[in-house]
Amino acid sequence: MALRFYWHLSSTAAADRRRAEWGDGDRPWVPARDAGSRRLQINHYDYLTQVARAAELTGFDGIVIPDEPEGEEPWIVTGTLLRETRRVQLVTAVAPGSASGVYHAKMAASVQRFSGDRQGWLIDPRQGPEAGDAIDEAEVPARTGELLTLLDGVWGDGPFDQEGRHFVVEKGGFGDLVRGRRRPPVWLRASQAPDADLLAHAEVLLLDTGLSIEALGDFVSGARDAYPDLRIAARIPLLARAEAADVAVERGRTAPSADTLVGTYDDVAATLADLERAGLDIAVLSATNQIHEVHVAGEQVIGRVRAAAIAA
Amino acid sequence: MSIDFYWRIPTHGCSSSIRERSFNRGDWSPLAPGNQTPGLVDGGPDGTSYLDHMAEIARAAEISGFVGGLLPSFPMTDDPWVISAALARATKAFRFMIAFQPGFLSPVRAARMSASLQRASNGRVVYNIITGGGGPAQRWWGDPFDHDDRYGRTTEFLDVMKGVWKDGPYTHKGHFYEVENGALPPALAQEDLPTIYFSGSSEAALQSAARHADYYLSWLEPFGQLAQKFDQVKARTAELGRAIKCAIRVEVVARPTEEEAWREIELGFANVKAASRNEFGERRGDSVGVQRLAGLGVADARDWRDLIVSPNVWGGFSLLRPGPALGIVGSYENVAARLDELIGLGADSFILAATPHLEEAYRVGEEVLPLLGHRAVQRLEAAE
Repeated sequence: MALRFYWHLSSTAAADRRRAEWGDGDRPWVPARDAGSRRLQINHYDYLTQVARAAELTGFDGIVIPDEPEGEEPWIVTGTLLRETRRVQLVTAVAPGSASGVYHAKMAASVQRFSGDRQGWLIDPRQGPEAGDAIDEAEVPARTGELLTLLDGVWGDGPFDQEGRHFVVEKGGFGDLVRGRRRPPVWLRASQAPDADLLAHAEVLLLDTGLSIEALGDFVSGARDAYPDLRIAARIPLLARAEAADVAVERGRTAPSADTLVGTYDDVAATLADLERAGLDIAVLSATNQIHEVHVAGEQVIGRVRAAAIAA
Repeated sequence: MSIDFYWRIPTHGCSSSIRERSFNRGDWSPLAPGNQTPGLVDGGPDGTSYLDHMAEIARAAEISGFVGGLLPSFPMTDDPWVISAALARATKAFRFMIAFQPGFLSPVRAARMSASLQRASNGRVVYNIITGGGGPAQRWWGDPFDHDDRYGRTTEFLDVMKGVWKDGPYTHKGHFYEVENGALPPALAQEDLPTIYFSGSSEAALQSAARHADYYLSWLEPFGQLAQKFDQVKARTAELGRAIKCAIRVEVVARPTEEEAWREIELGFANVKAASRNEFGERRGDSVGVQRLAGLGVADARDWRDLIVSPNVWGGFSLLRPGPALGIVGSYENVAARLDELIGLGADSFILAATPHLEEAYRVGEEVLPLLGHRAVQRLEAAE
C-alpha cells in the first residue's frame, strides 16, 4: 500500500492559537467579544475545521487530533469535524483514565455511525494527577489493555462481562448500534514501549520519539521487521520550501528541531520516498501556521510523492 | 418571569407518525416503504447518516423559536456529546441540553469537553445531569455504585468540575475523585459554566440539587401531584440555601381540533400489540418516578379512553414509544391552556416533544406557543 499522509491538527501552536478567537479590541483583525451577538459570531472551531478541510482538499488521508493539555478537547474537535469533512480518517487521542470504558466505546459508536467508520483511536495512556488521573505508573499498561479488551467486547451483540481492576461491565454489548460498523483501529505510541499484549490489540504503531530525521529510517525498518502485522506511522514535523535559499531563510527564522524534515519540496519528497522504502506506512506531518503549511504539504509534498509513485 | 421552551432531539431514530411504533426515520429500520433509512440509496451508502436528520430537527426547532433541545442518552441511543459537537456547526442558536451521568466521565475531562463545546457553539451547552436508574442498566454502563453513593458522587463530580473550570489550579482529595492542581487553559476557562437541569426526588438527590442545580426536571405527572412535588423541591432546596426553578418534560399531540388530536391517540392505541402491553408491565425500574406511573394500569387498558387521566392528559404514551406515560393531547388552544396551567403550578421551563419531531417543531412553535399567556413566552429575540 502506498504511503499515507495524515495531518497533526494542533490547537495550541502559537501561530494558530488566536485565529478566529475572541479579542478585546487589542487586535483589529478579530471580532471583539460581543455578548449581544456572540451566537452569530465566528470562533476558533471555524479555523480548526478549515485546516481539516484544507487537508482533505489537498490530498491528505487523515487527521490526527491530539490531546494537548493547553488545547481543545479531542472528542469535541472530532465531533465538529463529522459533518465538515467527507473522506479523511479522524484519529482521536483517547485517554483511558478520562472516562469509563463503556462510555469511550459508546462515543466511538456514534462517531463511526456518523462518519462512515472514519475514526481511529490514538492511545495516550496516562494524563497525570492534574487531570485527576493519579494512577500508578506500573498499572498503566494493564488499564490500557482492559480498555482495548472492553472495546472489542462491547463492539457486538454480547453479552460481554468484564471484571477488571479499572473497568467493569455486566452483560454489555452495543448490538444494532454498531452492526456493520468498524471498531476504531487502535494506534499505540512507540514512546510508551507497548508490550506484546497491548500490540495484539493495535493496528498502528506510531513512532513519536522525536528521533532525528537521519535516524528515523533505521527506526522505521527495525519496527517494520519487528511488527510485520502492524502499520508503521511516524510523526514528522515538516519545513519545506521551493528553493534552497527559501529553506535557508526559513531555517534561520524558526530554528527547526532535530526531528524536523527540512528541505526543498524535492528534497523532502525524496526523503519520504526513502522512508516508505524502509517500511513507513503513514507519515503524520505537522507544522505551525497550519492553514499555510497544510497547503504546502498537500500540494507540493504529497503531490510530488504520488506523482513519482505513478511515474515509477 | 420568562419561560424557556426546549424541544427534544430523538437520539434513537424517529417515526413519521405517532400512530406507528416503529422508528422508520433513522437507520434503525431496514429500507422499506415509509422508512427513511438515511444513508442508503439504491441499497448502498450515500454518505449521509441519522446525524443529518437530527441536524434538520435542531434547525426546525431553532427556526420555530425553541431555545434548544434535550439530547437523551440511553444504551441504544447515539451519544449526546458527539451529536452536540457536530450540530454546533450546523445550527446558530440551538442550545444543547446534554443528558449525562457524572460517573461516566472524569470531572476534569467533563470540564474540558464542556468548555471546548462552549467555544465551538458560542456558549450553547446546557446539562441534564442524571444520576442513574440503577439495576442492570447501570451495570451495562459499567457503573457498579449503588443509589446513595451515586448522588454523593454526583455532588463531588460537580464540585470538582466547577473547581477545575473556575477556581484552578484546583486540588481535591475526596471519596470518588482526586485532582492535584487541575485547571483549564485560559481560553477554555473563560467560558461560562452550563446551566444545570437535574433529576431525582430522594433526599440525597435534593441535597445534591440544592448545591449545584439551576432547574429541577420532572416528567409530567398528574397535575396536583406535580405541583406538590415542585413545592417540596423549592421549599427543601430553599432550606438548603438555593433558589431552584422547575421544569417539565412532556410530549404533546396538538391538532386544530380536539377530535383530530384524540383520533391520533385512538389510531396509535389500536396499533399497539398485546405483546408490547405486557412488555410495559415488565419494564418497571426502581426509580420513584417510574413506580408512580406504573400505578396507572396502562398494561391492562383495553380502550384508549381508559387512560385519560384528566382533561387533555393521556397516560398511554409509553405504549406508543419508549419513555414517560403521561402526555398532553388536544386542540392548540387546550394544549396551550394546559401548559399555562402548569406554569401556574410552578413550571419555569419545558422540554416539549411531538412525533415526528421535525415537522411538529414547526406546528408546536407556530400554533401552540403563541397562544400561551403572552408574558410566558421567551422568544429568541428577547433572549438575545
